[in-house]
Amino acid sequence: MDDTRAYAFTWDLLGDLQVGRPNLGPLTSVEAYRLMQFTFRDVLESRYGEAESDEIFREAGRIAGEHFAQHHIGDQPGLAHFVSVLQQALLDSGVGVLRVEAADPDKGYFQLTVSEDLDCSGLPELGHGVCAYDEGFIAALLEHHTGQSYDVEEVDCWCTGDRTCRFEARSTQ
Amino acid sequence: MAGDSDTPAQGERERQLADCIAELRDVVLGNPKGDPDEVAARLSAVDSDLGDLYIALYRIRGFGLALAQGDLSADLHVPGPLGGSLKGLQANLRHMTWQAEEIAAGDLSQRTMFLGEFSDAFNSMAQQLGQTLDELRKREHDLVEANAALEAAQARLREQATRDPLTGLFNRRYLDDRWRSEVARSKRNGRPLSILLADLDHFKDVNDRGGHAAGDATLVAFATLLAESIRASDVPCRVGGDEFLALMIDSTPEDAAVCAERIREEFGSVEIPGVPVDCALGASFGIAELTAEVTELDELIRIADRALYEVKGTGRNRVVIGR
Ligand SMILES: [Zn+2]
Repeated sequence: MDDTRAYAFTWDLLGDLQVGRPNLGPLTSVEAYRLMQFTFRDVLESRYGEAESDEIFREAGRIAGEHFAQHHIGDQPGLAHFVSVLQQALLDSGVGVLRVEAADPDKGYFQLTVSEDLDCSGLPELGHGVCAYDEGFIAALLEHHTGQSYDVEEVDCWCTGDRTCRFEARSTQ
Repeated sequence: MAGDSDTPAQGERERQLADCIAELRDVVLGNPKGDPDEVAARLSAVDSDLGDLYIALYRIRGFGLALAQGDLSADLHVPGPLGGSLKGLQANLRHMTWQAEEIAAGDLSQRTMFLGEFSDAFNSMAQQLGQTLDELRKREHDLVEANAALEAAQARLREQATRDPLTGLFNRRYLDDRWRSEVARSKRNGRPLSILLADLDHFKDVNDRGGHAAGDATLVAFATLLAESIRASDVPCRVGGDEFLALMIDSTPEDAAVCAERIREEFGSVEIPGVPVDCALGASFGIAELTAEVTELDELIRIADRALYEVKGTGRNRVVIGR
């Protein structure tokens, strides 16, 4: 069935921006990004419900994290190198400001915060976290580095009024 | 009359508001008193928003005080920029704590970037630590090298202290040390041990007519021949001006005599620069053996010496075993 798919993700689908946007360059506005994301959310939620649409975002985030890690992080020796390269890559691409609050790779536990998050920073307070995409994204990044699979939960979010998104990651092993 | 009926209600309302303001002032500017939920309930009775506001301020206050005391574990769920900025500060401090732990674990590449002047100070500290550590490593490396050089020099000195500088053979001091261990080994293994004593013939004539250079060349030539003619395990020594001695390990006097004879013969045909051709240069040999009765090196040398003088008295250039 897979060969019938038009959009099985590959990095090439992002296109050649140097050729494609010689004047506008590789950046766009956060408004445009969120416009697309939240209209998608609207449609997905109305068709599949909130929980299922969150799951779709989480799954997409995982794919994105996996490819992002391959393209921007690579293999880094040790957690500290991984974190500093990742921090810089997230800054460079305007995704957010990453901080490690606690890390215990042996026990498979991480606590991270992302402030000025691309998805939620500045959103109205909705009383629930909206960063399901980030949850998947972060899980894939940790899997890339540790080789273990992770479950990531957003415990604080801009949209719960916390002004910074805090994630807890636990190894599923 | 309406004004009369309003006055007590208005008065009550003003009293309640004053009470609310006092509670809010305490929680922000002073110290809150009483159970916060009870206070919040009282304030909510006046205005439902006031109770929520009181609880929010109470929590932010507690969170801020905990942060100020270095407690980074507190939790805060109050919407808005006041609580949010304190939580942001908490996240930064937690991240820096982790970075400091990484530095303590030896990763000096940690740099922080979110805290303005503090980041600059933190980063220059980490950088300084890195430089200091690099310098210490370099010094340690230099020290290790200096130590190796020192050890090599000491080894050279030790070597020099056991060698005759002209011929490179062992000296008398080394021979005395070695003698004790070789005697012990010989007794332990029941193996023979002999000494070969050699004295050059007509060496004074070489010195007188050929000069000191020729004399030195003669000594070196004999030393070289001696060292090459015995086994690697034997111990060749120069024990006097033109006197040589070799410890012949595992050798009977007869073995030693065979070896001495070979040296004597070869020395006769060696050409030495500066030595006049008509010089009757040669070597005489005395041999002695370690026995149950004769165990002191000086005794063996006396015996070998006697044999050697016997040779000198009877035409030189011979090998004799002393008994
Ligand atoms: Zn969020």
